[in-house]
Amino acid sequence: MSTVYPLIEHEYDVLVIGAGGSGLRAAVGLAEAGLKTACLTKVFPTRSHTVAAQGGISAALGNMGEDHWSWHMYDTIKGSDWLGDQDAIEFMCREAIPAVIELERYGLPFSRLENGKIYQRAFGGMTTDFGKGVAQRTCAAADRTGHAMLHTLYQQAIRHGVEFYIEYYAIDLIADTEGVLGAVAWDLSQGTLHQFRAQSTILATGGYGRTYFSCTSAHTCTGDGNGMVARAGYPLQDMEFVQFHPTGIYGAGCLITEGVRGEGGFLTNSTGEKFMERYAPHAKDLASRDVVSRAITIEIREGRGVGTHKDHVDLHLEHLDPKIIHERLPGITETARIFAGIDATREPIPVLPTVHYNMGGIPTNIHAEALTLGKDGKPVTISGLMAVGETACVSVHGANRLGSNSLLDLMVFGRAAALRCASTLEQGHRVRPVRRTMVEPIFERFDRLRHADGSSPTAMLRERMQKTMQSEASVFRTGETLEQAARELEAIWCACTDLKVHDRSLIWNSDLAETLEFENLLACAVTTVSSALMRQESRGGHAREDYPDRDDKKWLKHSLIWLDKKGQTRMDYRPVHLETLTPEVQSIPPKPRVY
Amino acid sequence: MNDLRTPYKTATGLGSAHRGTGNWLAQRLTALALIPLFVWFVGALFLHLFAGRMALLTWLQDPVTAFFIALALATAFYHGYLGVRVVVEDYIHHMVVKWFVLVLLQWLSIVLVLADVYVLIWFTLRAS
Amino acid sequence: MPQFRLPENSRVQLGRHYPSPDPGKRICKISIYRYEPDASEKPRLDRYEIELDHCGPMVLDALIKIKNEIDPTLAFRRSCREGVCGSCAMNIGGANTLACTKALSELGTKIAIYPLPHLPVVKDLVPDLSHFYAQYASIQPWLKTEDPVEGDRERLQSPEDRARLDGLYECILCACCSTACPSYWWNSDRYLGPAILLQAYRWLVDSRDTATGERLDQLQDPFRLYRCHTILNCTKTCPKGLNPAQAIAATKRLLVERES
Repeated sequence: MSTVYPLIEHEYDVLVIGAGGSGLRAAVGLAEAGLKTACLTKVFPTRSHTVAAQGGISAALGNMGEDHWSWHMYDTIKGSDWLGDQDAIEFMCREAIPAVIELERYGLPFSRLENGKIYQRAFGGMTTDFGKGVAQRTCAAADRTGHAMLHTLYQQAIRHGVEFYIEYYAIDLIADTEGVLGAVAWDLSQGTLHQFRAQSTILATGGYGRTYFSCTSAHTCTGDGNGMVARAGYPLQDMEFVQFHPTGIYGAGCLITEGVRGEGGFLTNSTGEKFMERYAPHAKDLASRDVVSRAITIEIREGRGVGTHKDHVDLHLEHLDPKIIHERLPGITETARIFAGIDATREPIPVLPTVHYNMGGIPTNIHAEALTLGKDGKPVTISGLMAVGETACVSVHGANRLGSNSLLDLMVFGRAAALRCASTLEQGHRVRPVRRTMVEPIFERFDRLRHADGSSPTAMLRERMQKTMQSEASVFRTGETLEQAARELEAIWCACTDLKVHDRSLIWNSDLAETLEFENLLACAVTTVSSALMRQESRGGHAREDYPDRDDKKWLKHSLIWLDKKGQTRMDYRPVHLETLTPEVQSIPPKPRVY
Repeated sequence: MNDLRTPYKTATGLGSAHRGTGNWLAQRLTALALIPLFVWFVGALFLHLFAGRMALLTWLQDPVTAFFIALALATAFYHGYLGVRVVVEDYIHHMVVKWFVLVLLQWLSIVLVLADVYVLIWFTLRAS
Repeated sequence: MPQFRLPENSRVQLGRHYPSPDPGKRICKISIYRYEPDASEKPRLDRYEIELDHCGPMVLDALIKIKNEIDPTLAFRRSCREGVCGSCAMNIGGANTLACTKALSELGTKIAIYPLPHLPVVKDLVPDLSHFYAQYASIQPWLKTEDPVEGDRERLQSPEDRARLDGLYECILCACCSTACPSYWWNSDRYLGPAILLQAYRWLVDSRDTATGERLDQLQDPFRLYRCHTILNCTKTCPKGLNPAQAIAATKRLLVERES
């Protein structure tokens, strides 16, 4: 049955897969460095999910009062529940300032202060002087910062003549025991298969929010990079840490930025109580996301939810000056009107914790080079493979990401990846030839799925997976729910032999594309649940009710997980970097995390 | 069609003509000028029609009247030319046909303006 | 001459019908333009019946429901599902808009969905936008400035100057406006269309950009700019509530200002 697919071959210095914030930033840097770069993307660059980021990008510019990057670093480490690598966090927070200035130079339309400087707003977990005051550190373009940033980066990419391959779906990495040589991609508009060979392949494929039934993520957030890496036999890191954003619109799941609370908004329960004061007496509504999400979940669980089913809470901003709302939060008022049918200047927005971000992903060092464990159990870089953005786990976010650190992550590590390539690669250096045996399994998988003729349509299995994850691997988990999830996912994995793909065509066959994506999602779901089951403690976004405390003795370490072809997983661990990058700052030892 | 050309090549095409504002502005200015000119012309025409044939002829043969009528008609023809030219550019894409029609249109406008001036001069001179 | 009638192989025929298994329920009848590039068939209009009680509120929810439950071969673009990425722009009930923010309840029980008009169709509801994107690139949409910057700080901009970018930078490049413009239909090869002109204006009024003159030079062209005949379909159809017509008018005003 296997069809012989003609293969169109390309050779580049660097291949970037994904054209969201980090992919574009890397591609711009690579083009500037004169490296021959291809940027592959399954959606037109400005349709990437970075576009949906609202609140802003953090950097200790100090435009709104005194600030220092070391305070930002402290907040990030505390936010990560000490699972973040402190050297990487130091690097990111220090580089934040030039990164934001760079974006402004690129033309990003930041909101401005009277003195002409960039406007900065308060955000959850961002403090001054190591937790003493509230920091205004998040640089914003109204509540459309991600949109403004993605468009700005795309504009720079055009300016630098980045070679785009738009609506090319990357199927799998070409890899052998020595490392990664490139990837095979499917051109959706022509229906052809392409082989990209490159000295270095940078994965910038984003998160995998769509493993859950309700998420703020776009339909295209399907963990393609994670799936490819897992299939290539490399590990994923800290997959159990899934961030729930406290304020997704009830029902629709669309994001309502934390900036609402940064501008003075607050949450109430059915008694009208500002309940966050109980859970985080100091930071209140501006506590870290995991804290607020758990608080909301407890309120609802204890019967203090609002609405007919008492299953959500209210987010208030109607007390704010309509002028401020219009100027700084125009996007979310529009979203609330369309998706909740309410006028946010008059009524509260119904919200619910919703899956938002994946702290875990492909392990990398601060140069964005992907890691695995060597024979001696020590981390080693994978030749020819890098990862940036949400798909990567540097790890700067540890167990819980702070709001507005994500756009920063994209910029800083996108740039770092480009600089690393510029310093280590040689222009036009020949890449090892690809042997037919390396690409044949990729064709075989593509062809098998294209002609899959069982009885379970992709959509059906996908929904089963999403509902399982939603109910069993949620804000709170227990060993029992996770075991239930693992059993169900195993059943779904087995059911994949019975997949049904209806569309057999090659041009824009989105049935097949969704099936390829589903396999990536399933890989992410399985690794998430297995990692979560193993980690017997509560840390950041991973809240185990059967192990409610953080256990630094046993679990101050990153989980690494390998997935085999049968859906079985293997775990290993690597230590958290508690040491800093430079002697300029001191390491922050783990302590209880209260807001 | 141009399958092997890149979209950017097609989009940039022959580049900018660096003109167009003049015609666009002229069309708006002639439209503005035509408002008072035609209000005056139609109003005066009706007034003199009611005042009788002699009054109408005397008015028409006045050189000042003739000048303004000539101006109104010339403006109208020029305005019309600019308007039709836009329509032709919109809908006729065949290069030769388009230029043939445009040149024809230009000549037609000039002839009409000249004819208009000639008739009015002739009419005024005959009266004196 | 412009072609007023579709070529023979593009004329739409009546396609398949997928009736609801339970006609007693609240039903919405959705007709969707289908075109399969691999088959040598003419495009067709397939009719689907979906139960509104088991469907999300938006047109995109209905399309996903059809793809998941009735006909997985249906192709359409979608991503953010909240009106910020611009993927799911299509012609719904006769108007270009985003499927993800258009409520089914606004459309009644019979809805016709076509791809964005006057673009080559790749498959079903997926049009080829490469020319549109190339036009975007052609206006050089990035900050150009000869001004040196002091130190390693941001350029300064007053809140008033920044406010002039509001209503412009929010454009999501969905192409709803351009493909609703008759002038763009006839002359898209040379006319930039409302979306791109809105973006061009975004750089004209950015107080940090110093290439205003150069940008105006590039725009001043009977076709690139002056094919806008103030039809205003662009402003009427923009799913983000932006006003491209006003931006075009303001560009023309700048050009006049420069002349005298």
